[in-house]
Amino acid sequence: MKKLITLALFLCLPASIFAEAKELRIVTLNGTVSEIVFALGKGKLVVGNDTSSLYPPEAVALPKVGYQRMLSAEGILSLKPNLILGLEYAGPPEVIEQLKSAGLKVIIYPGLPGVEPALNNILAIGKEIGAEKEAQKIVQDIRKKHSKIAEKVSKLKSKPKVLFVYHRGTSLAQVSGIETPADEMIRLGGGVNAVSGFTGFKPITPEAVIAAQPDIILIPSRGLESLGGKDGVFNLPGVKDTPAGKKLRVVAIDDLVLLGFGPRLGQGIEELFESFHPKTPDKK
Amino acid sequence: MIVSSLETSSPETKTKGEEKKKKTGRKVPPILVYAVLAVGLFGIGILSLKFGSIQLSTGEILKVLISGQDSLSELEVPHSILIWNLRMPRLVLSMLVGACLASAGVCIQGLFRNPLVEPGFIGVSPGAALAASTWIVFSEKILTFFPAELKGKESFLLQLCAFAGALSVSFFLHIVSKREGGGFSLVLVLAGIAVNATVVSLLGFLSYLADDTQLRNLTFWSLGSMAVASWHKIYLLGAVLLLVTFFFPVLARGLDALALGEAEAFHTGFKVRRIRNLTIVLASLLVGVSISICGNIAFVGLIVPHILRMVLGPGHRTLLPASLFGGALLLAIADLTARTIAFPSELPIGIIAAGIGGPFFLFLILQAKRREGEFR
Repeated sequence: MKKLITLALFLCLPASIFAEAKELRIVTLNGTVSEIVFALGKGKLVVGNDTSSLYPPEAVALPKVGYQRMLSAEGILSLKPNLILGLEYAGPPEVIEQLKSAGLKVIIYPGLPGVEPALNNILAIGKEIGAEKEAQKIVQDIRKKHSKIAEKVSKLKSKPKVLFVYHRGTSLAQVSGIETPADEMIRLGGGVNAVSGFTGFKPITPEAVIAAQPDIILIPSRGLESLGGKDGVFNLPGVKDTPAGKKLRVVAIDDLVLLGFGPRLGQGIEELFESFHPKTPDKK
Repeated sequence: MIVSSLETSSPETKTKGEEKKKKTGRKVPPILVYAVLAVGLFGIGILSLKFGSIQLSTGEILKVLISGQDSLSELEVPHSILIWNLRMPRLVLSMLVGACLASAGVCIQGLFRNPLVEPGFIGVSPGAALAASTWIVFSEKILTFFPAELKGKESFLLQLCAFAGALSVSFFLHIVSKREGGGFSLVLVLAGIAVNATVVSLLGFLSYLADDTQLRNLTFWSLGSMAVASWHKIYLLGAVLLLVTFFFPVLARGLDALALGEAEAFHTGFKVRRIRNLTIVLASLLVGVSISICGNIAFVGLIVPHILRMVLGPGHRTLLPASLFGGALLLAIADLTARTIAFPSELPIGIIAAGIGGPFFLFLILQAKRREGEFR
């Protein structure tokens, strides 16, 4: 029993280190929200975040309160935050309730994919943490990039069929159907989702890949890493027999830039457009 | 071949083993065991309330417990909220779930007259988890005309489904084991493994159908968590446990009689079939409702009865009530570990339980093998 007490005491030590409070102490529960707070220049107010917060590098080094869907109330409380920001995926719901009942300010933003919802979230978070000007600036920047690309997209004669592959480790490979962040991004970047028969994600099958006949395979950078580079993508079942496999067209973009709908959304749209349409004459 | 040899040899060796236990095993008076368990529960209770985001002193805990609130109002997070909203519900829920699973373990081991079975191991808890998951996916996809309160995770129908799942698996295994003579049977364990495999495949199929949010709910069933504790769930589980404890005297007498063998029990005047059905229903109720609330936590129903049998002997009259305390103690320790070991995030409690339980199970098997006759 004594050992248990000393062990428990030892484990509780970090809690006592975070002592004084007064200014904003923010815990972010989502990678995109973390990125927004850092982009608004308030990164030093963040005292903890979840394991999906992978950008910027400063965010990675902060104490982790678990994955956004598997949070623990005590863990968040131990960081003595006075503002908790998350997207609607934050949970389990009981934990969010517990945090609210402990008198903490918890704000949950919608997590819909799309330019407008993303901009709204940036503005709302900016207002909440006293960085409205910075938020306006980021929003204007995204709007500018978005409308520039949207104009180019509207002039396109043909759009490539893009297959989004989400891949982790050797066993889990899924493709994105409609109403997913990837589907929205493909549209914004001037492509067409090669699979449109279902909503959400489905495991990949060789037959389905061949039937979709994608011109381009789109994959988040981390997924590409876990496949061991572009060769891994072409070795996925069925990919070799598609136009993308024959022309060796794989586009890899950082996970959060591609799917986060955060402050780097404009950059993401630009990157996508450029890699979908490399020979467009008015490319900058 | 192996099975038939086991069948013929097992009843004798089993009674011999039990006699041996009765002579040598029962060294500790039950009252002492209860006292130790009660003190242990009290101790772990204090520790659980003490540790977490903010460490409280025993004095502070007592103050909140007695007065219901704390004197210091300028605290960032009031101690009363810390205790009553966060730590107490978890503590009570983990104790209740532990008590339910451990006593269900005793019931199922008594029913199948096999000390090596456990609700999770032979597929009863996975069956409950499968039924609960099925409910989550289908109630939201197909029963769209249902009112929202009756769908998904928040509805009491979830508990009902989990109960039905546990019940059907137990009855199925019961039928299988009866066909094999009802005694210690390898077929039962093998059937349990088959049920488990089927359940895993069906869960895989469900995860294919589920959307992202549902998928997270499904993975939750397989690992278990106490983070979902709320007083509402505690009342529900508490009521179920209370209901079952009323049947403890009947269960204990019945299971003791069954231990002699079905024919013997019948000839000494017990209604064997009624005892068996009652045991199955009550054990499934305990397992189903616990699993539906906090996910699949394995091995509690194996470890606790085993340790208690070592100190108390195999009599169900003391074993059943002691398993309540023992299960509560074990899961309270597991939960305290789960939420402090990876602080500020937490581990799923199922990982801790299986981490202790797996090696312990191996130890049991090796021991049984050493005693020869019970295992081959």
